[in-house]
Amino acid sequence: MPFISNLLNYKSISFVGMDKNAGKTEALNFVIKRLNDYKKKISVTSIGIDGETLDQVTETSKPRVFLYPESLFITSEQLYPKKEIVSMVEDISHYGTSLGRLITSRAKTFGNVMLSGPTDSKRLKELIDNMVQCSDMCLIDGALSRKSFASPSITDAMILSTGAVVSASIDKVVQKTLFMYEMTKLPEYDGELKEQLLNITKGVYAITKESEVIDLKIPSMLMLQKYKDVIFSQSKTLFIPGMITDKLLELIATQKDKSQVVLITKDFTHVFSNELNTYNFLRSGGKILCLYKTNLLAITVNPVAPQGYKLDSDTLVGKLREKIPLPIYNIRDVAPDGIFH
Amino acid sequence: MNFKQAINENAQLKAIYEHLIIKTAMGRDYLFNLEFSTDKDFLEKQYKLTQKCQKFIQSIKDNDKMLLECVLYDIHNIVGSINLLERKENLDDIGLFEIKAFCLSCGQLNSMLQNLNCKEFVLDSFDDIVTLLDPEGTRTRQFYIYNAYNSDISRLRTEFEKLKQADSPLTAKIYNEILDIENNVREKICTQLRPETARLKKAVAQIALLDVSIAKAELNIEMNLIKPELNADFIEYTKMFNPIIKESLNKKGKNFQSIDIKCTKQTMLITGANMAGKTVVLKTLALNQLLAQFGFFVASEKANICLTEGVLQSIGDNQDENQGLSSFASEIITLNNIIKQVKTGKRYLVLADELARTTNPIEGVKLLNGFISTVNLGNSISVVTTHYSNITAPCLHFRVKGFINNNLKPPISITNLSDNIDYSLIEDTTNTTPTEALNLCRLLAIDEDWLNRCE
Repeated sequence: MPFISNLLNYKSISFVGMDKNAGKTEALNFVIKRLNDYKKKISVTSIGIDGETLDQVTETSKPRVFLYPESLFITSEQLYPKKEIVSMVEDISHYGTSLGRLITSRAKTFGNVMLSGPTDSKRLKELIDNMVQCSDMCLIDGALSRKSFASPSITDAMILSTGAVVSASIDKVVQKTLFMYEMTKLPEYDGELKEQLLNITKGVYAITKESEVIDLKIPSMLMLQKYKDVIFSQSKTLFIPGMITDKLLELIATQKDKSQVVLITKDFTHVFSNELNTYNFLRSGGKILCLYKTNLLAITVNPVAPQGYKLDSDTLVGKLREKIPLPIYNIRDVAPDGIFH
Repeated sequence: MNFKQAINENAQLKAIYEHLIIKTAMGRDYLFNLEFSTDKDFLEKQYKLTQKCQKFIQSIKDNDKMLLECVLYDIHNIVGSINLLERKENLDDIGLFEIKAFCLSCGQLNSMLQNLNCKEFVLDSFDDIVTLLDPEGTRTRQFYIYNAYNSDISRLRTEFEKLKQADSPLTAKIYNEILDIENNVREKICTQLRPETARLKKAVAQIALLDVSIAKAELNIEMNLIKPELNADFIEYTKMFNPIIKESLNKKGKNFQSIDIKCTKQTMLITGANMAGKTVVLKTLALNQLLAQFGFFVASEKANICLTEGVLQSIGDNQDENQGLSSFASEIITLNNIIKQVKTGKRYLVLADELARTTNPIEGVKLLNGFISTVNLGNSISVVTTHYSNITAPCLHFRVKGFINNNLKPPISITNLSDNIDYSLIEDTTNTTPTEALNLCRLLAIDEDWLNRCE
């Protein structure tokens, strides 16, 4: 698979799925296996709690992450004992997550492990910086989840997984994946306030022409209706560390000078508005900027949905390739041999 | 009352705590569980240790200090693991890793302290435990059930890997065998560790004390705190200052005017204009007393104080509408509780700010007179501030000097106003209270109509 050689240029790569069961963990396992062929020492962790045996949403079985000897993996105290591998404890974090402190560990044999990692971007960044020093490459099992404050875009590059789980219609899958791809192309915010904004995790902020950051005291985007009059009271440029919602874009659509509106968010995973609203907003001249630029390298496709139906793999991959200029593969086609341990 | 409760009750003590750089989890536990102490010997011991630490910290180079901090930051809290061992339970790899890491850190810390000539803290050597947890002699901070522990385990692990590569159905069986042997090894290790728990506990306590003492010493250097003498039956400070307010004033390029004060069994009554710093005096007295009796140094140039059973305060508006209490009722309830404590005859430090200020001045004065006379009956040391005149109860009457410049022209900002106030306390024999409120209003340039209609 050609994109593996591209990966070698990056020190940290995150794996993100369009939905649960889009084949993200399969993609991760595939890459781990191929990197092992290249004799690369890797380290892996996850954002939040991924890698459970049973997917907590759909209750379908989930493959665990398969590691090779001398790989480093980071997981939490609660998930560490669920490994099926001989491994050595190398370090324990002084801070905790909801599943306990983080354990840095080295695989001594082949086998499966379950991953869990930090939930905020600052800790994730620290961890990646450390992992990059201790290994050739650092892989992050990332989440596209509202629950996670950590941005997978912290990494140098990203691989997106999509598939039948997104929709039963091939065209819908293509449309939604294309939308996601276009969101990863959102321009980067590179203003002087970048460092300051990175440290903010919640709220809604106005950014004035004088580069002042003003807290609008809106507790949540979900309560926008109550704060309609406040939102553009200070500036047309807003920083939204939480999520950009349909409600917000619908509200902006009714504004007189909507073309002046600039929304800054952490990365594309924080755009939760649907395609229609988002395209309308962008078409009317509005801008969405991201603090972290996403470097999407490839897309993997899983034509099987946990609900039981299967899409035609070749048609799906073909249609995606028509629209998106990136390497796009069904990993099961590329490597039908033993990647499922 | 322990330190954790105290910082939740006193905002200034909490601010001090936030300046304190505690590096280890056990240090924090130790500090939080420190009791408000009335034991003079214990406190003197603490002070001495802090003094020695301060000397030590000032004698070492910045670089060494940083290294020492790094080692401390890296120490794992093994209290949980020790408790598990004592309950005859076995530790997992994570627990054993922590014990090993702790023992390695102890060794590192000890050799560092000895190199730096610190004689106060000599930690036990845990080479025996490190050897037990490091059968391959790598002396690195990692742990798993090494192949060296058991001859079978290395054979089984090799076999497991072969089977796994072949994707054999036997892998699960072999893996379970490996787990069994690993558990046996862990049990043996834990049995050997169990007699050592007392030694480990002692080291944990030593590290906690070292951490807190260094943090205190650094605080003393940062805030210019000094060791109080505990030889008096009064409370006397020369050039007392409030470290929190001083810091924020210094940031604005202003100075904090320190004051001299002596409080005795005879109630001290302080009057003075608004903005004259009466409340700050009370808050600083409270803070210093808490600091001293939790084993910290105090904010003053010289301090000779007595130990008290506690600090009883009525400072600020405690209005609690949820309980249906007005500010008056809630103040009276607080004061009544204070009287109850004082009547036990034990020595407390009693601090009341503008007592009975929320009611009419005629009855307010009566309440104040009654309070002072009642408190005088006990053994407590009390300081009360007021705006009322004609106090007949026996007390030492002091006044904040107040405005030093009578030719100020309005409008004047609040920050500039404080530059024109002399905050020192002088004895007052007039039994009247300064009437400077209107003058102050004029300087603050309040509405003219309002001001004119006041006259």
